[in-house]
Amino acid sequence: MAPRLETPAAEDFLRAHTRTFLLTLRPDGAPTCHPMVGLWRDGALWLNTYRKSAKVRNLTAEPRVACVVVTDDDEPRFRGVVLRGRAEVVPAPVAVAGGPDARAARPPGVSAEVTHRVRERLAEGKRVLIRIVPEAVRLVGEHG
Amino acid sequence: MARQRVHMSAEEVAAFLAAKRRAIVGTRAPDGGPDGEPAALACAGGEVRFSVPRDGPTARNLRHDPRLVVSVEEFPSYAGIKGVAVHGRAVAVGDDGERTSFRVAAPRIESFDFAKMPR
Repeated sequence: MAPRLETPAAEDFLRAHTRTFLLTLRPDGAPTCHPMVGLWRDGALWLNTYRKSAKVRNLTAEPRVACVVVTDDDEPRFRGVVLRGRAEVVPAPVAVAGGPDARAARPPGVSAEVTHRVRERLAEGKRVLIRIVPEAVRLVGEHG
Repeated sequence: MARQRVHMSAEEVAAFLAAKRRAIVGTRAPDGGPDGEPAALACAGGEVRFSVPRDGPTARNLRHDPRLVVSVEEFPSYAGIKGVAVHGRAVAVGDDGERTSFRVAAPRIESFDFAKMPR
């Protein structure tokens, strides 16, 4: 069974929101930001990107990362969750065998065509999944 | 990705940032790992400025290491994604007792506009 976050409001928020800003450290130690789609499954945030991307290079060298997951532009109250933890690169076949089918999910605003292409590239190994288990979680913005 | 093909022009970046009121600011925490926080954005006259709670993580982190990234992204649909990231150093420019304001010195800008993607 997946571990529960200590903050149930954060977990509820993460289940309902996918808009994620991943923060990594570049080789020179400066922070950089990657806007992405994040899916919360089984106590971890899952991201999906190119194996040869700068973000994968950064988090392979320095696995400590932060993620800011926020509401969409059209939601009246701006809210978010900040996670800090360690990132792990998971090849797609392992992730699929492991249970949470991050490949099958289609986030809001992403077309079936894009989702199909992403799945093909995961299967080819051109894309990988990134798994982040939070070590610290905090709420930001106008949570009720 | 051929990033140069989907860049915004300097004018487009300035207009995009001037219209936005919120950004995600990335910093490095004293423990050495990256950190992030939403910030109130106010860009004008070619300067990137933002404010955060004075006792929050971003203001604290920037006192240790002024390097930062300010990220603004618009995501109406996948084909409509536009974003700007400003890398630089934070310089504190004001404090009203609750929030600290910063400007970004020596900014280096990256941008992308998926509508410019060849298809």
